[in-house]
Amino acid sequence: MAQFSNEHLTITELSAYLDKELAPEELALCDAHIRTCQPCQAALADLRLTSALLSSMPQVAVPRSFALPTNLVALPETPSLTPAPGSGRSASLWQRSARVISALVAVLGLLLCLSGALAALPHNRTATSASQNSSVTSGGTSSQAHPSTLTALPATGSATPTSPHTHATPQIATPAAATPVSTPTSVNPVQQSGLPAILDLTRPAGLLSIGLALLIVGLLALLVLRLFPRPARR
Amino acid sequence: MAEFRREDEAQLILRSQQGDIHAFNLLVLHYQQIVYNVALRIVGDSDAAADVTQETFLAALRAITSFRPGSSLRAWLLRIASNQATDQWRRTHRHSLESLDSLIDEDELHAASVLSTLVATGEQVNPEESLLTHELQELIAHGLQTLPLDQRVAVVLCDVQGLSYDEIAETTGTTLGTVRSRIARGRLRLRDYLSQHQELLPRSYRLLTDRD
Repeated sequence: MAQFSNEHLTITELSAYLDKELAPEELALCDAHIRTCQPCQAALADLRLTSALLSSMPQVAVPRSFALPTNLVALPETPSLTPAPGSGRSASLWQRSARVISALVAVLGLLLCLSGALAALPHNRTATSASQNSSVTSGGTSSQAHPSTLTALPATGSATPTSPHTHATPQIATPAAATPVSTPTSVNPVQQSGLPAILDLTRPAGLLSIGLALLIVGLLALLVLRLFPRPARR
Repeated sequence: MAEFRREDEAQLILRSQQGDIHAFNLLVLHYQQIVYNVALRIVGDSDAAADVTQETFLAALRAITSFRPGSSLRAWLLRIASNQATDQWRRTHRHSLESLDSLIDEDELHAASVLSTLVATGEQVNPEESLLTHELQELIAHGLQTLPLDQRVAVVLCDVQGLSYDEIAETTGTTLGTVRSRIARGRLRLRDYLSQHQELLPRSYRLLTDRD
């Protein structure tokens, strides 16, 4: 830093002085020096000329448009931009809500499976008819809800949920079918539901099968969404 | 081209980050000229500059979600552009460790054909505003090629494109002190180069100081 008038300014100081990029105290000192120093004035003039020549270089027009082809799938942070889908970290609202719904379906399915498995355990089968009645009457009201959930299932799921469980139902259906026989009063509400054991949410078989179905549907949907994210629609 | 209002540009950036290529292309059309010109002055060749420009926008689209809204998109784009351009230049000049200047016979330097193979002479945006002769432009462009890359980038951004020190610091990812020193050394080196060819400078552009 030039504190004395006989100490010339460095080229960096002169250059910053030219661009008015000096701090106020630096500026004051440079000003004072330049005013009286001929060599520094000449050096500054050369810098000014060089800068002016560069500034006078014309802006060249682009030889063509650099707009990107719109059939590119714009998935940020993928290593290559090709039409093949990648795993974009920023998902659209559609993708995010679809993932949430699939996760909820899977969780619901898991809960139903667990309750079905618990209901199908040996000590539960010998429960009193009172508890069976109460579950049936509550099942009676819930049986109204069955048609809506059942109609929803074919729309979301594939044919796979039902097939793995056909082998499971014979074992579960027989204990479930055995209990209503012992309690004649509960037969009517059960028969009112009119559903086969596999689809009846009041029975362990139904809980287990529907639970498994929902779980598999939910997991499949999550898997599909992860592998094949839909590109943003425009 | 009309300036983007900040809100409009912010909207386009947001939509680009959501995968809207049409929105991104509006940004491309707005910034392609400055990106191309920076690339051109760094690599010195119009074909290479076009490649660099295309790569810059592809890279920008890939990285658009990492752009912090509110910061300068221009600095961000030029950062990608200058990195691409310097990479490109190093690739094509791997074998010449000395400056380009030393590879060319001084006599040949005045031959217009030699200069035109080295520098790009694209169509000017405002030809009527250019104060420099064609030869002088080529001389300056060639002089830029003799600068070390970091000084070249600094001088191109500051003097050719008119960016502030702050924006250059943001673009190059360095401090103000580094920017200041690179600009100064770049200008000095270019001045020395031009003074070697004083005869090509118009009378009014004579340099005052002798070469050190």
